[in-house]
Amino acid sequence: MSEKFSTPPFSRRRFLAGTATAALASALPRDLLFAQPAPKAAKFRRLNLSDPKAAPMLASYQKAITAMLALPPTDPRNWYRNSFTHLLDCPHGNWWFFVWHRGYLGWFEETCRQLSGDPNFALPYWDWTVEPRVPASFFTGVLNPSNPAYIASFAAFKSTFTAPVNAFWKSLTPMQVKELQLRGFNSVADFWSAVPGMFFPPSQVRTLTQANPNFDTVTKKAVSLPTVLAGLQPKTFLDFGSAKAANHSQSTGFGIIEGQPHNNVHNNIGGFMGDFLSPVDPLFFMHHSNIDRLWDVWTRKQLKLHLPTLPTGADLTAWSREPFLFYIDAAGKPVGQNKAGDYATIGQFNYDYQPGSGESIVPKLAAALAAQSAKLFTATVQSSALVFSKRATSVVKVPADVINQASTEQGPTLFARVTIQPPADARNLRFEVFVNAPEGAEVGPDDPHFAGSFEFFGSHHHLEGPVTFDMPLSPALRGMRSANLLKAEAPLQVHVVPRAKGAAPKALAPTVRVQNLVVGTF
Amino acid sequence: MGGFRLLFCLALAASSVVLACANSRRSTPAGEERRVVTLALPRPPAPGETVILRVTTGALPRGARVVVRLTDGEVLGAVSPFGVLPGRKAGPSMIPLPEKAMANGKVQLVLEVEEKGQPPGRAPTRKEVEAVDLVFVPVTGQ
Repeated sequence: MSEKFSTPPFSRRRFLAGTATAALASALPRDLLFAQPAPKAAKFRRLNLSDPKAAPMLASYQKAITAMLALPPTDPRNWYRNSFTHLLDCPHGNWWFFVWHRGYLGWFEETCRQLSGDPNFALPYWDWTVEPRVPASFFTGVLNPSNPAYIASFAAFKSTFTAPVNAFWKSLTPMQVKELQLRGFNSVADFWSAVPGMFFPPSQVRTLTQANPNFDTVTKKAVSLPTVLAGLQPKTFLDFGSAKAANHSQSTGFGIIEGQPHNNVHNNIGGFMGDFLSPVDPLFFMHHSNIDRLWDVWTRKQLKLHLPTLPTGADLTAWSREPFLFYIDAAGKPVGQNKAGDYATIGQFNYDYQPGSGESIVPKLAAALAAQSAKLFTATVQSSALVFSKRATSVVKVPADVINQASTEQGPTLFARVTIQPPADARNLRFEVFVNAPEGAEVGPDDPHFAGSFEFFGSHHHLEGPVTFDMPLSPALRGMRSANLLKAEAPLQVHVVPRAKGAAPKALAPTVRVQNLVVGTF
Repeated sequence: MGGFRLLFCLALAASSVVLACANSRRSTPAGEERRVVTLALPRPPAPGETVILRVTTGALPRGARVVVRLTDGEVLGAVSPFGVLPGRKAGPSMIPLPEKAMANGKVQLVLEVEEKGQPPGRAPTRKEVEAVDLVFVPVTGQ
């Protein structure tokens, strides 16, 4: 059996043909149904760096750093050369912040795997919400950029990298040149004029020291759980991520996660971490692993709530096509995946995260959604007889907060599940549904009280048992709210009115009635 | 940002239009007067919405940040630009606003610029903080 639903024009796109329950699924705009697939069991796990289980990872990380520091400056995987990728291409203050850094870390992680000789290596993350200070382990060995393995002076740095940077510049593709021009790097001279203020001798590599490793008060607030949770709350990618921009070298605005924990941690640590050469400090990758973890938490929260995980529509196209042209793979070669959309999911990097701060938002909201979905309010059927152009009315008390939420664009959808005993022959019949329609008023499709209608498809039906259909009420509630007609505290009246079409019978049999009506949300 | 602009209070420069700037006492230095910003909330947030503070900054001195506090001194957050190319504006930064900050439909804030090596807490200039406003953002809750 199939029914056809129609609603007022402002929400008509939500109601297509289908079975009664399928109509609810089709009520979701297509974009809302777009979601990343839930990852299968990941091959690699990124651990909290303070978990004792992460100690082997930190040991492998040190091996990789040592190897990268020792690579010749002509090798793109050289520790400093790797940081140049960040200097020349990193987005900040725009909606590519999360995705660019995911790609940057993912390729770096593969390089670490290769150069450490640890095939199971995965970048740990620094959960600064729990540990608002520079971790003690990062004052030891090459995890501390004041270690003698690092270049000690800008003069030595420039001497080492002048020829390799010149060669690199000559190797740029026209597309890469164009990208660099967007950042104001028109020549190799621009590179060397930018770098001096970003390079630090051993005594100044960080503002925070082993004797004073703690964040200041302002940064502690920026990494606190309330701030992190506030950053994870937004319902859309555009509100979660930072602002839209024309290209990824433009700063147009900082979302909470980028602007608060991300920026404040960088600047409170200071030294290398305070500017574009921040990947010189090994803490950078622990910090950004945590930022990427929070994007993953937000994404999984969205999936649980059936909300979009990425920009939608034309925004998704624009966001996905942004070129990322400077990544280097574990062999030191340019990578083939050179668009933002290639990193929209964790994908081929194939890692997941040990749970950390902010993770609680995922199961908590999922449970709330499940509880909400299961909540049904049973109506009292006051007049059940279905008579042409007369109202069969049911009354149900729905909590005001549910009505209020369901009457917003962002809120859950309130629906009425109506069970009727139809006539044996349902041809040429339409059943209209109104909400809180004033007594005696004519209610047409443009009236805010008009919720929608349904009818039976096909030219020949012989119906026996009762039929249940779901009619979304939220569009009508929104219309009533806009017209100042919504009284959330009042009981909800749902009216079902049969209409004759064409060669319909003159009257319906007395057995044709509303049998049951419940109201719920999804 | 899904919200819309509510009210813009340029309480940061004497020449600008000041919609609501509280605690402007004659006895306080001019800088003291300009660092306090009062924003009016035209309506309470609807269910499924939250109110977020948006601080729009221009080019800040290297290493400087704008710290936002409630009048009782509690830190709400800071605009601490990172990764902004030299000479370019940082633009808007979003800072969470606790419910208690929205008493009686108003939000009163203290904005101060902190620079390394300088005495803490000077008032921002008009070029440093261009706008402070509130936006409604659809949220899923916590």
